[in-house]
Amino acid sequence: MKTNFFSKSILIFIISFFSALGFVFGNNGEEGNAPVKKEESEKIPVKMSLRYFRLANGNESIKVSAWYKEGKKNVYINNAVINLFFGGVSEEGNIGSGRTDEKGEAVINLFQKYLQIAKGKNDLDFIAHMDGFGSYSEGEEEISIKKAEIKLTVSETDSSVKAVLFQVFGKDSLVPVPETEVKMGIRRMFSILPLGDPLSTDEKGSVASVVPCDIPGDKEGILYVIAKIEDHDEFGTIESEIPVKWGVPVKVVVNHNRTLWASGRNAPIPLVAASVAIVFGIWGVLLYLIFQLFKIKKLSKRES
Amino acid sequence: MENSIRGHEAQRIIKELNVELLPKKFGALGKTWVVLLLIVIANGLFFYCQQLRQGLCITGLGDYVSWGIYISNFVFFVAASLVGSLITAILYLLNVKWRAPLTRISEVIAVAAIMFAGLIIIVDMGRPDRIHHLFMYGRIQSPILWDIIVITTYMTISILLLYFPLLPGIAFCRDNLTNIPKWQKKMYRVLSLGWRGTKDQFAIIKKSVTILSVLIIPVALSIHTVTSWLFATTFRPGWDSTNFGAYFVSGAFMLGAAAVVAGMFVFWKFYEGYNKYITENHFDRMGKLLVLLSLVYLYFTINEYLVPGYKMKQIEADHLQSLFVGHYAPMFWAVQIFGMIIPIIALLFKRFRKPAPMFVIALMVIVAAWFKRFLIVIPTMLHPFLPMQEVPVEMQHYMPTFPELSITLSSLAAALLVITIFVRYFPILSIWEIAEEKGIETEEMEVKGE
Repeated sequence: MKTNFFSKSILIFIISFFSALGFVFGNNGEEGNAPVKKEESEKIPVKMSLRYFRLANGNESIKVSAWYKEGKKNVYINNAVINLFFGGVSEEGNIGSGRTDEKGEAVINLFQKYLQIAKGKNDLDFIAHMDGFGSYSEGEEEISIKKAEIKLTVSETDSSVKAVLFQVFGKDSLVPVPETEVKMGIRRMFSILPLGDPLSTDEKGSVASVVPCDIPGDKEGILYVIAKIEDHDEFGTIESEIPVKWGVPVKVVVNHNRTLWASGRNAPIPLVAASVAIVFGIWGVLLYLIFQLFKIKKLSKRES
Repeated sequence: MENSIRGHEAQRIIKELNVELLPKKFGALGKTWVVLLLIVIANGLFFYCQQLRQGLCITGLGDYVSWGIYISNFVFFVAASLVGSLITAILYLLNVKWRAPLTRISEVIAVAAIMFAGLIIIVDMGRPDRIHHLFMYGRIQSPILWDIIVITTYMTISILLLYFPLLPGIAFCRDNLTNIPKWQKKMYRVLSLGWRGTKDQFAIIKKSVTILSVLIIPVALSIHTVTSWLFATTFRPGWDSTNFGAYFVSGAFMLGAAAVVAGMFVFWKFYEGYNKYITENHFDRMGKLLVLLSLVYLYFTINEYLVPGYKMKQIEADHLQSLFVGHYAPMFWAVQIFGMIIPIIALLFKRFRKPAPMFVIALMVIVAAWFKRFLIVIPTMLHPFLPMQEVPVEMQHYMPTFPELSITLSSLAAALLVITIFVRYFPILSIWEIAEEKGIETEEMEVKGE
């Protein structure tokens, strides 16, 4: 009777445990939020979009979004594997992959392989491919980017920064791009502080912004002025930055007080005293108890 | 002592206890168990060597989740170690008589758990060769340093609390075990400190155990409170709570009690004659204790989720939604249901406080407790208050890698191996305490001559 009940209990436990584990790890798999598998004809058509980014530090990336329409609403696809190709869908052209997050977005950074393939090219053709999974059909989208550059120059006389937008042709031929919106700003920790409204480039491809002199910089007063074009149909999002010495130097206050957030040497005295007292108090008792072990041994010898 | 047993009758009972409770060689099942543990440990060691060579890049850890299952495993071990203070100290000071056969089981679990809590922290370090930097450059203001101090102290107390009452047991082994290898004889001789069981020696043991029992309670509360402060003193959703110390301690007591129940069952089921000492009554009482501890933990759990859930500040909301209805919802609800709700309801009924159902429930609580620590650590790391910029999307998810899982599993297996080895060479039930509970005076246990 006891064994029987024991076996049943074990069985129930095993089933429960493995169902729980199934839940746990099943959710991390390829088909994170995928509905059940369906026939090819019934599969949900997937929409995709691509955006190109080149940051001021030179890092390039492609942000891929994947979603489907449910009535008028866009439903973003989570956990979809996206493969990114350059030039055409082929093994040689596969320059990276990523997985979409809860917002249906995957950011694929463009590293070594892309830099080798794209070297010297001014027309950049990217293709993103999503394999079909669950009830989603496969999806594909492409984007063509023309290589452009923003050159920044500093005018010390009127504390302004001039940005010129060029499209790159041939090896190093730069042609100014007029009538394009450029945002000027100053890099802060988490975002860009805009220097006025976005400006449109003139026939020489240039815009200029005066930098106010009362913005806190680093300890030497250096600010980083940024010029940026965003989501341009031909150039994507590109930015460029230049350091200027027009900021207010920020004094770094070194804390020499005895505080919780100071260095170890400047720990508050009460904290040090309390810690030392507690540690020595407890370890004192423990040493006394270890001494008792020797006493036990001594008693044994005496008795024998 | 009233109704004390003396003389021939006392000697007969002691002899009977010796025959039944002295450690025995493992049978086929025991040997298979040891081999299985060794395989798991060897697999983990292989991957740890790989980790030492290549670094933490072989794990799933990244910029977002820099504390993964190594740290959740550490919290699990610390929690399990608290059982020593519960059964040995609290019940001892409350003069609860039925605890006698359970004290050593709980203490050996505590020692094994705290040993591997310390080791798994070293495993989590990318550069373990720099561990001495913690002591050289550690800040007394940092809970990390407090944790190191308190773990070392707690381990020492636990070892002493295991060793003092074990002395007569080691002497019983020294004097009664025949047909054992020389090294084993020597081990008993050295470890028994020449124990003769005199009145003075027993007095020292009793005094030391009382001191340790008083000392271990604040240290045990500190160890898990300080561990909780590693989280609560950082500004993150899910951790930014004043409740965390009590929440961790209550969860630890619940896990510890379940671990003792699991241990009790193994000896009750597989060790011949032990069911005379670990009886159904013990399971019944431990069942009631487990319900009480589970209810306390349930109270803190509700506090932990209801209050931020009611306010739903944006970043807290993202974190809570990932637990309640999002990516971690299946694990979260499985843990609450299997690890708390079902055990509480089931253990309210006497029929579930029998050994077999208790064992199943204890295993459920233990497994759920491990995943609970996972849920405390990982989802929070995925929702930092301060945004991180330009992080690749693959770093915004966490899935432990096979090497990481292997190393973690091997630490669990190694803790079990420590317990297993202890059981193989030392009496897991305290013979002299059981004898004393039966009314035998300690003078009757004195070794007469060599």
